[in-house]
Amino acid sequence: MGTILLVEDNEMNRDMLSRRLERKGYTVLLAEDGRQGIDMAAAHRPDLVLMDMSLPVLNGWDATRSLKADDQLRAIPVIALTAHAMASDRDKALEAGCDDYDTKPIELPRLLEKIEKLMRR
Amino acid sequence: MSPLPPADAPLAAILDRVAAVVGPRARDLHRLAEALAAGADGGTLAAETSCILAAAEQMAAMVAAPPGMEEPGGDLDALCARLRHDLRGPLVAVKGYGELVLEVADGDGLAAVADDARHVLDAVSEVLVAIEQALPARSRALAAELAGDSAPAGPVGRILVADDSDRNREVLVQYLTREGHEVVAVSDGLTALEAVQEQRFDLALLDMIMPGLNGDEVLKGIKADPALHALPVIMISALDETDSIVRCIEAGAEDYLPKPFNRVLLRARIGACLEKRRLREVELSYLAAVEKELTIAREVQASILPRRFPPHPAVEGGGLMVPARDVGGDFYDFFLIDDDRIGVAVGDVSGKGVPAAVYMAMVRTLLRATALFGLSPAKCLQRLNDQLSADNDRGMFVSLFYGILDCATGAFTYANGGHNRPAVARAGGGVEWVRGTDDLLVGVIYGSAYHDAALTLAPGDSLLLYTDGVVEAADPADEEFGRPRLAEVLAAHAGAGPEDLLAAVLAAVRRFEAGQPPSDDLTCVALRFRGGPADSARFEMGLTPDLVEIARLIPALDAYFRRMEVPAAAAYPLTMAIEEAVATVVRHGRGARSLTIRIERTGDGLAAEVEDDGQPLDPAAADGDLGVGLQFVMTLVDRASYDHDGTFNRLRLMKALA
Repeated sequence: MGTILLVEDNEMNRDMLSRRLERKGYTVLLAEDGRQGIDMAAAHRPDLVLMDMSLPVLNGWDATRSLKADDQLRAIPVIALTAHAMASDRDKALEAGCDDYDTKPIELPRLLEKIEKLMRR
Repeated sequence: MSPLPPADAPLAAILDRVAAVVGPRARDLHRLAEALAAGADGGTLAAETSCILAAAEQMAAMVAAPPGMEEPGGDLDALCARLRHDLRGPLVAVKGYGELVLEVADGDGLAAVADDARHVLDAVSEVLVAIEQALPARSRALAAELAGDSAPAGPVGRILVADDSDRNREVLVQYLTREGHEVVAVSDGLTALEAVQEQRFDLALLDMIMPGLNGDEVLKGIKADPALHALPVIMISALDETDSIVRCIEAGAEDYLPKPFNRVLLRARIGACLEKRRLREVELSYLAAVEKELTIAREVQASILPRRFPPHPAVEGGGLMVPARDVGGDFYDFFLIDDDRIGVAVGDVSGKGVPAAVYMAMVRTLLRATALFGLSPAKCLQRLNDQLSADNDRGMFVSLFYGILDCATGAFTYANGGHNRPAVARAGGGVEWVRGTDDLLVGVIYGSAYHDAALTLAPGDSLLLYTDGVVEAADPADEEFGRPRLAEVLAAHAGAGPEDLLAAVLAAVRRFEAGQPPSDDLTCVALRFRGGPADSARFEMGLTPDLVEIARLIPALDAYFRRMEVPAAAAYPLTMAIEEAVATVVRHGRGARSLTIRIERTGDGLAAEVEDDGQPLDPAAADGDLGVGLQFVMTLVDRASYDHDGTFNRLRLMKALA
């Protein structure tokens, strides 16, 4: 199926989403902040990154900018996740280089669709 | 786009709205999460369901006390965005785990857990909707996202367009649809009326002149129908129809649109109308929340009332409280202070609803805490007043009557902090109002003084404490029930026990109200002094030095002599002797402020004592009226003596029993 790196600081949400993705057959790697996210992405080269935007140490926008500035990692698709649910957030995420965007709470079927579409690319 | 709330304290208003609109939904969610966790306890999904419960708890707590919004003068849009973000936070876990639990439970055949999970997920959707309802329309418009295309700039709704011109209909339908509204178009008045009766609309646009029914007639039909009259209507009119427009607005139309259509105007008026309707709906959910608050207030009120009167052989009592719809702050209390003393209180807290209920609970707790030290009623009220007024930001207060009944003697000591005067129903049938101590309401002014006063209950006497709800109950002509009517009820039930007396008062008030809904709580406490077996051989009664007190003394003496089976031949002259002695003290009281009558059995007869605190008397020098009075007393008894101990005059009267 593929490997997904989930960057999320909230422990409960990290546990919940990783288990749901694992049940769908994905291998899930975890990171708790933007810095760790970049390190994990560099070390493991996942097939896709699910990036929360409000992260400690380094926020999701900056972490995404770093990933997209790195020639080795640029190709890994990043989906931004945020609970803001504001139109401007989407623009902000896309500007930072995210390949797609979704809101929390998550609609799993919709998120899976986005994941599959980006992984096929 | 709808205007933002005014700049002063808009955030506070939004937070209030969040608490009112989202609060009930969040509490529902919490309750359902509890049920889910309880149902899954110990099973394979215990960990997941307790995560759901923890997040639901967090949600409910956050709505009750919304997250810190400390940035003063911050951009309201940004603050709303953050509020939305924070409120949605816990829902991420609830929804995610909820769907996970549902998936596993369905797979494992755990039907009950799956059902509970479905309920939780439904509740999540409702909380999400409530969050959007609670946040200002402008913020919702900014939030319109996801698809990213054709975000409507204002509230959207289901709109009926009634216009007989094909061209106008087409323009309106096209324009409104593009704005995101759902549009139904009809070309005559009757069809319009049928449409609003059959389907739900958020707004109707009615052309003034149409075949069949005109717009104004359709409007009349809508406003006359209770099921429809809240539907906003905008009239479409040509510029020369000013008079008709005015008539329509008088008849309940929300606004009008001039032809030809101006898009900016069209959007503004429709947006304003729909926003108003949405606010009305928010208002309704706010009212539902207030209703819930009232239930809480009622529960608080009911839970602090004592369930039963402390059992004591010498006294029986009971309390009654019927809350009004708006829940005032009435309460009553009775408690045993020691073996022989019972404290009784009735109070009425200012204000209504939850604040009054909470204040009342505090007053009751403070009163009990103070009273159980055995302090006099005045001292208790004084302490209570100082405690309540020292920290009283909300300006609340309580009218409070508190008294202590000594069950051994029937002595009732009391203090009255601005409360209605209680009534004493004497065994003999008379009704007296308990003299006020004219002290201030409790909790208003720090350091106010309170005063003790006393009266004596004779066996068979009843005491009734009550609140405004009794005497200020109004009949359909707005006349008050009043004290005279209350006195009549008491007189008519002189011999009744406390429960019967309470029922009689309630019935009389309700009869008087004749169906008027009561505007205030109705509260009464009744107690009847029986006199205990321990002191049945003794008689003691305190009187105010006033001739009217004789009316109350005589039935008490009668009751005592009957109980002691004293033959009339002895009882009658002794009663007369005591009566004459009392009259002598009153007439020649020499400044007496207290007067006490005591009688006890001796070996061969009865020994009575009339004690007063006036100037000492010299019987040898007594002459005139005083002398005659004393001589008359002497003729009625077998022996009489007098002494003065520095404080009290005591006249002792002996009557032998044959």
